[in-house]
Amino acid sequence: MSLLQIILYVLVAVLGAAVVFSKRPINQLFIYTTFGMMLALLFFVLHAPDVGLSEIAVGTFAVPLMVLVTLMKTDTKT
Amino acid sequence: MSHRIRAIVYVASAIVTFATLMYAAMGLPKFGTFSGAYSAMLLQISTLERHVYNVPTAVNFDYRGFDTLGEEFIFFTSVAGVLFIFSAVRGKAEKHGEPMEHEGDRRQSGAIRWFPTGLTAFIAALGMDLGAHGQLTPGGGFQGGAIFGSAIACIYLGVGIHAFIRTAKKETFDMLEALGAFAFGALGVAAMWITGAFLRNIMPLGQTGATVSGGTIYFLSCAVFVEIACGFTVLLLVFLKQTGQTQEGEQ
Repeated sequence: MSLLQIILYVLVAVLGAAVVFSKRPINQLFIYTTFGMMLALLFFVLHAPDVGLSEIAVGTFAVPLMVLVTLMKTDTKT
Repeated sequence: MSHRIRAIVYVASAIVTFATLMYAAMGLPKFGTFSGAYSAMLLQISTLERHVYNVPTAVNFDYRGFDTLGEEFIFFTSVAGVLFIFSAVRGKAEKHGEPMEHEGDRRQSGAIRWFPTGLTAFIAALGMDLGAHGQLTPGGGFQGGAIFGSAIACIYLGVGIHAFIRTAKKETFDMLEALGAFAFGALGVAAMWITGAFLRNIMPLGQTGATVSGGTIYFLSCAVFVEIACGFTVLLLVFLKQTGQTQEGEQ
């Protein structure tokens, strides 16, 4: 396992835990987006660029967009 | 259930789950040493047999094309479900008038306006490039389509909701999405009609490395591209119209 892989594995683990433990939905969303980016990078580093591209599109565009709009609609305070 | 009992139940189930997971992880092959017979075989034959360089695309659109058909229709059904739910909600909010009438006069910083505007064409080109070269380089219909969809989202971020609604005509994109899904199925049925096997690669395979090569793989990828790009756009459109109506209703 190369150093880059180890760094990305640790980042994914830490960010994944941070998504679970963050309290405010809006913070959670942005941490989730960062988590998605790191996961996509990990896929690239593990020689799975097809999966990485899907993860970028879904994890940093589609899911955040829908969650953001849902937050806008359900809770104006966040 | 009291706090104490809940904690006991949690700790017990956590230990059991953790132990089971660890036991299962011990049976995994060592990192980087996985060697499945199926993947080894595909790596050997797919370039010779299907004239493609990117093996995952050959798996998605040819060897396991039927699975992809299922996935495309999961996406198609999800979008249809969202449209169905939101069309029921829209009936109530309709009387508040056009969505996001006030959007035009909302102040935005220059960076937020110009950055997406400049990026729109670039992201759209990247999406089309990925979609069109799925058989040569990593990418393919789904990835390209999703990235093309985010280019259309950039129109909203950069120019505003009115330009976005003018660009992303719901009827057109709805129809194109259905057309993409239909084309996938139709290619499969055409193959079944001609050769007797669903989704068999019936088209000329072309020269390995050419832009149009891999037979039906290329066309299936294009169909998925159209479906995903239009599906994401329609999703974005109905979601954004929702937020507009809420704000209109509250004012």
